[in-house]
Amino acid sequence: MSNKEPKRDGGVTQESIFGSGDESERSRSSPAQRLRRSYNFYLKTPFAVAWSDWRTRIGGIGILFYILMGTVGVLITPEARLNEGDYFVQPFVNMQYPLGTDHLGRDILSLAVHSTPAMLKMALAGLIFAVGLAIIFGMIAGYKGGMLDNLMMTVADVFIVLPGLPLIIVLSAIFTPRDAFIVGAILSISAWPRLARELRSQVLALRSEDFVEASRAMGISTPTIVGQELVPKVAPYMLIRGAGAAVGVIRNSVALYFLGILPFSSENWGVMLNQAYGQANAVQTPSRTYLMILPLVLLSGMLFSAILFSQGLDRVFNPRLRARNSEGSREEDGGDGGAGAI
Amino acid sequence: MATEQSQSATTTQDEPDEDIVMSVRNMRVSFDMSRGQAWVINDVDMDIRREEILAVVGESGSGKSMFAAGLLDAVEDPGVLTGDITYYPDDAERDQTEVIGSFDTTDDSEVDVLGLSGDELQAFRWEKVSMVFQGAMNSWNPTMKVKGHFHETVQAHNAVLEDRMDHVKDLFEALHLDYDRVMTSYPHELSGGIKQRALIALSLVLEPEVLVMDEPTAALDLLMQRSIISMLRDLRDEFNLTILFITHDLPLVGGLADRIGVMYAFEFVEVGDTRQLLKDASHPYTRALLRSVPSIDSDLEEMRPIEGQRPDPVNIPNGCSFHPRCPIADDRCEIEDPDLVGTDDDLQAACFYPDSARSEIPYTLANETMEDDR
Amino acid sequence: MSTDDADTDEETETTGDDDEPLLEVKDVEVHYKPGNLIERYLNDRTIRAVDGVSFELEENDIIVLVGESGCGKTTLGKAAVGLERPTDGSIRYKGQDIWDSKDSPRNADIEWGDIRRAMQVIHQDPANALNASRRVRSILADPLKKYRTELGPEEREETIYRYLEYVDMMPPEDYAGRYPHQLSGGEKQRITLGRALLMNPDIILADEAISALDVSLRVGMMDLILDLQEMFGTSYIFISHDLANARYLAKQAGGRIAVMYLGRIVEIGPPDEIIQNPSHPYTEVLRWSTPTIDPDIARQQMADEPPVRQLDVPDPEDPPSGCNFHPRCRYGREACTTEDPELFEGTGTRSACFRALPNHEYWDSAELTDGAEPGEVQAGFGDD
Repeated sequence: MSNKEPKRDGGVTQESIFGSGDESERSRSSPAQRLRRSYNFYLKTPFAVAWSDWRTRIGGIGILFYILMGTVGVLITPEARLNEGDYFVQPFVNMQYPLGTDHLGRDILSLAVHSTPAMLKMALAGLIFAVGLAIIFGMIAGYKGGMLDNLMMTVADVFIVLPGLPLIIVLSAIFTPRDAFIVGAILSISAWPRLARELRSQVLALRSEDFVEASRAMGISTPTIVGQELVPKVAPYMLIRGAGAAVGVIRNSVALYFLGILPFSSENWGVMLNQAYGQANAVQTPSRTYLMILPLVLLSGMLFSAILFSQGLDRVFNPRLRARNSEGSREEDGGDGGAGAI
Repeated sequence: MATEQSQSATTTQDEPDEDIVMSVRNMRVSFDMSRGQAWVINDVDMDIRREEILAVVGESGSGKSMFAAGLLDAVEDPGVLTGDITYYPDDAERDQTEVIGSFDTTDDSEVDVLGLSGDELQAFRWEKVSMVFQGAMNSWNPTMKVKGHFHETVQAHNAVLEDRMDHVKDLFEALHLDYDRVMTSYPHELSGGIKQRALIALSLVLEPEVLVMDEPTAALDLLMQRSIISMLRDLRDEFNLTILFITHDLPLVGGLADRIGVMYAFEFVEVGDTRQLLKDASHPYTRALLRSVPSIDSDLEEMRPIEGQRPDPVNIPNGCSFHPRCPIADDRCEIEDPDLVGTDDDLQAACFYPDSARSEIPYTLANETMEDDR
Repeated sequence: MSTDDADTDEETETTGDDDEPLLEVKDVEVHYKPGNLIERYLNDRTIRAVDGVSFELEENDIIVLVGESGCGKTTLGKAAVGLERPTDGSIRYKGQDIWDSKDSPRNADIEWGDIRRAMQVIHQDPANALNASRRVRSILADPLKKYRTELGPEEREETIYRYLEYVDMMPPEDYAGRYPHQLSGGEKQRITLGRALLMNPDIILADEAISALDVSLRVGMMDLILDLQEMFGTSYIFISHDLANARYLAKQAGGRIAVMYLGRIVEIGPPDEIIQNPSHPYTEVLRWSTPTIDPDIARQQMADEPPVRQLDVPDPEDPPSGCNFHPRCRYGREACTTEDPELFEGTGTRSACFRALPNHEYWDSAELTDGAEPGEVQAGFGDD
């Protein structure tokens, strides 16, 4: 490098040496190439990385299964009607009602399938609200600091301190939400403040990193720094916690429906459990236990898939894995990789 | 393969030379990595002479830390260490009645380090060969006063506390440490320089013969660094120590070391008397290195970086491992791997063309014109 | 702002005022109060990281701040380029106080945005200075997107490729798509350098920019920095704890070395003078501490005692009275405990020591003894 002649152009400024808009030198890659590169970077590689992990595969398939059940399944399975069959038909007995019927003669399978959209909506609402509020409060407070930080964290602290379950019960009693989406939103109230605080801690740690300081030195605006530098770093953590929040919302909803606190508006597994327990005495009657098993299995499956998927997804943000799975990747670690201190 | 042919080489394995305290033959360390097998020590032979200060100099990724770890059989899993590492206890000591600690060498003329059992190895380390690791000053237990660390170590090796602490007083004096104040302090109350010196004292509490130090001064300030270097020489003289000093900083050891061993690509490329090596090195890498390290009085115009990148342990170049970056390499160098051969009185280099190296890669140490300016 | 003002601003920006130095640091202090809210309220401790420093930097100038840890060089460097706010004193860029520009934009001759652009930083550890989750292309596009808005995406790419070619990272298309962990230490540092340079700044703060590199690569990186400095006429503030590297940089570029101790500059001048004829006792200490590679000289030097009375650095929260080096100074006398020396003109350098003045009362006052022979090193903590 020291014996290389600098490209001089008759004493002109840096602009023309390192490139300006001049036409003589066309760009190296055509728009088509750039598009292909974007596709690789943003779609293909993340997908390849994600797919390489068994957790993402299994979790992803699981979630896909539920989404299909909630969309296509709903379309192909007829809605359960009262008295369409005998009461308490056992599962695997009558192929018309493959998983049996409940105390009102409704087909358990179609009940379960038609519950899925509501559960998905609740999960989605929980995810959006919990993570969204956490991001707004946590990242901005963490990055900006000062008075804004104090204010936002005080709000979060108020919500942390308020007892979660009783609060939700009270809110449910007051607002009697029927729409699944609103139920999810209300139930996420207890989840977001803790997430916000955790996010804030991470941002605080990142804020003092050299690369953030360099971006500040360049005068890059705060929102850009947050989006460009910080989000990729906190994304894996947020995904996992976000999935945890969604899972928590669903669990809470099932609990509340089971306890009968949330009003019944549509079918959902919590309602099914409630009715199995209350109306059919399923817990104490062995022949009726099947009424509880299906909703429980579906519930567990959904939560498990969500958690697995989010854990696997965190690999997508690991630059080493992205590099390894990139098109035409070379396994160079710049001499740093290897057996540690050599 | 690098085989050392020094005058004091052992001809048979059961007649240890008086001069040698540890000898290494065919040392290899490998790690199994997803992209291949990494040889981080690539067939190394070395003799460490009694009471010498031997500096092992290399850049990061040259294998020097691994070499040190290998001497104590302390290579981390999943690394695999093979070879012969032999320790020759002091003749005089063999007649001694007092044994400090639990490692008894009165009946042995040599000890096979890799063959020691777990308990024996634990006694061997610290009592015979002690080590100060990189960043070790951070390894003080924050909940225990300095005194506690010393007591703990002494008791773990079944030695007599009072005798040891008397010895520590001598060590502290040599290291310019205030015994009372340092002993009764917690580690966080002490500065980096004090912690490092106290750590050196701790490593010498059982009077080992050999002290291995891996970049002991890297994180310290200039003055402290320089002072500790002086102290090490004093320690060696006063306590009959053998010191193995590992560093990437070549100027640092110019005054300290009796011999220097230069490592590149996981093996020694040049070994010999400090003065001869620094004044007129014979290996192209050593010469290029000396030409690339600015020291306080070097000729600035002459400085040149070394082109190229350090080798990947998974993909060590064929033949001479330096040939891709060597200005005088030829076809032979691409195929054959040179052994260490003598090029001067007490200097050996693993190169086929040391004379060519000397003429093609010039460097000067002190700036002569500076002398005139004064 | 009227169009008239806009024109004058542009003029000031490109041609500059000939009388004003590019950067003027005047009496800057950066004091911290350690501890949390309650601790700060309850006690009075202050850490004086930077305790009254002044210097000037011209265009195309280099200054190297040298000192041991805790001397304040990093804090001073960051304050000088506007990354930290001083608690006292002023920093002027082409005559414009930079913090005034940020606080009251209306009255500013030079806008904060332009100042911000003109002063950039290169960090010590390239591994931390680059966001490990972003590719090289994206990292280098940052400065272009912000300040070369006239460039479209193709032109930006072209500029990035040209830079990569210039610093020998070929093929550029390949390197542009890499993540930082796929680069060697030297390559990473070249990217951080590029990120700063593509802003076309006037001043770059290089904070120990070479200490994280392999020894054989350091000269290469320094040469590259010096090449680019010559090409673009950027001024540099280097921070180094290594006197040998400081000498290389300052000498090749015709700059100055400033030796710092406990928050102050104790000696400043051309590298040859500083190293061969140090006036300040602390500079002597640094010189002594820097090993020479000539084995004969080195062997001789081994026998020397360090030229300080105490080995360990005093507590930065409790600096000594008078000259803050006096407890360790081998030439310390009574006069040094009462009066605080400024930077006096000496022979070849400016030095904050009374010994630079032939007629100071220092020469008449008694020598300091604390039981040790002058030059003998004491055991202890150095805070007496």
